[in-house]
Amino acid sequence: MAAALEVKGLKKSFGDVTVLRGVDFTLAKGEGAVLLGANGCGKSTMLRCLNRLTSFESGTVRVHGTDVSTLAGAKLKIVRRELGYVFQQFNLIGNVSVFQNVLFGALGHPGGGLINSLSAFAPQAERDRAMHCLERVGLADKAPFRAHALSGGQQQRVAIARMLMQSPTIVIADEPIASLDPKAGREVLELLFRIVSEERLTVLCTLHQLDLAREFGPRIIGMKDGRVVIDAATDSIHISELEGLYRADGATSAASASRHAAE
Amino acid sequence: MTTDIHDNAVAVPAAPPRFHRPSVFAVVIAIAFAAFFIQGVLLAGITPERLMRGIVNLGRFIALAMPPDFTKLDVIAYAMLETLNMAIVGVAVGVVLSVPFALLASTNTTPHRLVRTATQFVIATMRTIPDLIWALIFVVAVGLGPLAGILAIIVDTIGFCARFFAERIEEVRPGPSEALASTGGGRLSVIFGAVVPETFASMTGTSLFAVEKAIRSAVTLGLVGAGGIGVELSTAMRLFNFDEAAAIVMVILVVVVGFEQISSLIRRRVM
Ligand SMILES: Nc1ncnc2c1ncn2[C@@H]1O[C@H](COP(=O)(O)OP(=O)(O)OP(=O)(O)O)[C@@H](O)[C@H]1O
Ligand SMILES: [Mg+2]
Repeated sequence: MAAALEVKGLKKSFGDVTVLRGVDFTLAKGEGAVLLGANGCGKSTMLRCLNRLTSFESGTVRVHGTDVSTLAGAKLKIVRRELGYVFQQFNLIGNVSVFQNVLFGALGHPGGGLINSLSAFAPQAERDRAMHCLERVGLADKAPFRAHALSGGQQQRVAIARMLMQSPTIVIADEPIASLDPKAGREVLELLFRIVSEERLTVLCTLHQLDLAREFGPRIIGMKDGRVVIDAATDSIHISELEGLYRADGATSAASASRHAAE
Repeated sequence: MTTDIHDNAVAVPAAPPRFHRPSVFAVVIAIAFAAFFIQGVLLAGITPERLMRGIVNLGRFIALAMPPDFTKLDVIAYAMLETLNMAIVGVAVGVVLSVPFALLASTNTTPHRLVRTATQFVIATMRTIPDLIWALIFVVAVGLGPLAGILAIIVDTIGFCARFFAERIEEVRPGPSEALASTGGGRLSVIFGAVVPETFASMTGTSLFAVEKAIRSAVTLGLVGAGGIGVELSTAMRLFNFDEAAAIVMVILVVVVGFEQISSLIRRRVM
């Protein structure tokens, strides 16, 4: 059985700046991991390579066994459907309703497309499903509101509902709670991981809070300077190793670099 | 430790000078401007005698124009209605056409760099040539009457709106588009699902400005025979019916000001 996500030797640079210097890791189906790393170490760039929002120079990214590096057009869209993204900035569409935002999750579905995802023309079944997704994040009553009228925590829950509407097999969350206050952040994180476990989804989530990372992630992947330097079950990692990710001296112990999670 | 303080004071770099010597470029521009200005004043041939004559003529015009002659109000009202019709039709078609023009001209939505350059060139041409000249061209093409005026307003509106739409589209935050692209949506879905809604408020504001602009230009387009109240105005002026002309100007004033009020009211509510 192919892994949900398999990244090998992923390299990416912007002009002269090399951001990813060969990233390797594998996520099995249904596995969850938290991605850690200092600001600018390349986490977001790496996550954007997974569905080719950003193209990369070399290495392979396999999603359920399909190499995405050369995909284009319809085939790329099919792969993108498998990866549900949750962004730090929520990325909702401001001028349309919460309900419409959730419906847009089905844009890439077969028989979806723009017309069938517009609130006015969507089939009844899709409209019901969108309401169901909103219900699951506890915001069914906010359906007619404009997205920007909601608080940050609520907006992120709408984004999670949109991701549910997409019904992906893998969830990619890039600092989903970085713009939320601690209480709203914890609630959103609990919601996200509850949905992930109920749907048995594979999840890769970046966080900047070590305590939350250790609480929610069964496995931790640590990046430093464009490489994976820690990849192990959370219980087996000492907190000082994690703190090392944020030290500028580059003194990451060789032991942690070579250690990989027992899967 | 006064020495420390003193040392610190020495370490602070001197403040920038109060005045900078102007660059050669600035001097050249200033001299060129002065030359044009002086030449322009000379060209106008301003003499005290001419100024006096102008004031006297203006006084005679006002005397003849007062009181305004509203006897042909029905004709004036009909011409004003035609003007409004021209403006509304022209601006509506123009705004709708501006959207595809703007999408083709924006870096983040254009299908190709060359398409973008070509579209930008077309839009710039539409904007640079004044509406009166477009009206002259369309009068030649489709004959005298409101159609020429409507076509001129369409072109003028695209030149204005497409440019501002495109600027707004290029400012759209990439996040929402990326979110929709991540769901597996196609290019058009992303553009009409994320980019266009994000720009909607600003586009509405620009369009309302375009309406005001179109009504003002619809008034003048008649002067070159492209329909509307301008036709009546130029006829009245040429026949020295200054009192009728004054009535027309007053009707124009009331309608245009009224329309701008309504438009700014809508703009405030939308934005
Ligand atoms: N589009 C781009 N063009 C040029 N450089 C970029 C671009 N995107 C990212 N970078 C650079 O790549 C590096 C890694 O950025 P990235 O956003 O992946 O870091 P990150 O690990 O997600 O950081 P953070 O924790 O702050 O989110 C940064 O130095 C950034 O300046
Ligand atoms: Mg980031």
